[in-house]
Amino acid sequence: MGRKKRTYADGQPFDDIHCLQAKLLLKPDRFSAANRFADFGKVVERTARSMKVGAIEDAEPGRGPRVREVIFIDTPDFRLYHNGFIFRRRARYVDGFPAGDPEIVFKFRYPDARRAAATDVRPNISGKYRIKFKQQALPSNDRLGGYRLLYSHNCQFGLSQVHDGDRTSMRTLVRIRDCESSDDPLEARIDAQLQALSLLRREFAAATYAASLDFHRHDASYPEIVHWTVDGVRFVGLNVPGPDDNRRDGYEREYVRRGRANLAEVNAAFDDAAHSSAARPIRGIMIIFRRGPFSATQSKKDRSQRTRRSPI
Amino acid sequence: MTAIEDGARAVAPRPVVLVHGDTHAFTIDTPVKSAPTLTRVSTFGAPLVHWIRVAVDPHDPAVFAFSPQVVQKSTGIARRTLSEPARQY
Repeated sequence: MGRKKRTYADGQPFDDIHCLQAKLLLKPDRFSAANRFADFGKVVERTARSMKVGAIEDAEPGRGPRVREVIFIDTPDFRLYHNGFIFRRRARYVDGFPAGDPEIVFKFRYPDARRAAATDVRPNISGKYRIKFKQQALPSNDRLGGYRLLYSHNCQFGLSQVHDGDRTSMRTLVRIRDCESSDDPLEARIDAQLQALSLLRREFAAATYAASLDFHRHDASYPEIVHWTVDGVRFVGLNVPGPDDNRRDGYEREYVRRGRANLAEVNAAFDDAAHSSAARPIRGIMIIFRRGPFSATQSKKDRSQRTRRSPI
Repeated sequence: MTAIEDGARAVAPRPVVLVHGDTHAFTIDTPVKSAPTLTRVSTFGAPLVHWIRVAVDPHDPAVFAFSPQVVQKSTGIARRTLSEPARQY
């Protein structure tokens, strides 16, 4: 750590490590019945006590095993996992049926404590959540014997804590702000946001549509800017985020080029329409984007007087 | 907007529709007097989570037709908004 106390973008100090967790990965082959697992627990407890490590008594020794379903969520090529992120949903099962509130766990796991601490894993939800920052000792993954240390920074929350409309929104579930890449919090925030944006763009670029749609992406840099034509009607999808098209100080490297790409796509649609032939006419154009371009008062009068607004 | 307004004038009388969000208020109007073939459709947004059906008929000169579709679960507030006067459909 540097001399000054390092903080997240909103000024909250970096989280401190809460505990050390040593994990043992077991092969399931030997656990052919519940009591075998209990027997193994006794062996571990005996060994722990002989090493002067305490053990917590099983409060309900007669109870059967508890079943929990854990679904790992990732891109098809495991980009989250390969970048140190683990995203999963855990649900308890009772008598074969899901019970209680499923739990979302999102963690960043990294060998460097500072970088793990610098990654702000607080979720952008209005409900309750818990943050855990653990040092983890795990068996080596490339050889027998030895162990490795990782730092696991995670957030957990019940699915009920997320607003109904938000449950399928990745952007809402996790907000990743990596403050490590720069000492300037604004620069660091922009870096992290641009990284997230490029992740999203790769997802966009991967999606395909029916050939009959005559679907085109603007280019590899802006795969979300699209157009397609059906029965002589041109549809144009632009990236103009609300409420301000991201036109804030420091964000020029994001919005200027994107603005040009949007404008090029709009101009192309009108050019195509102006030059369309009787054989392949363009009869109408629909342009779709997020930002509301008219204020309440502007919508009531002729806007022939140009405002300082973006070209789109 | 300049490009869209100029473009709409250039391809008139063919219709141009601009669909946007952000305001969370359902609106259909022609906000630019000098470009009367430019129709703006502002979509619903939280907490009024409804949707708009767009019918596209390339053989109709108007091409696009819109009808707001109300999701029953949030009709409590929605009815008030939908019955507001001074909205041009």
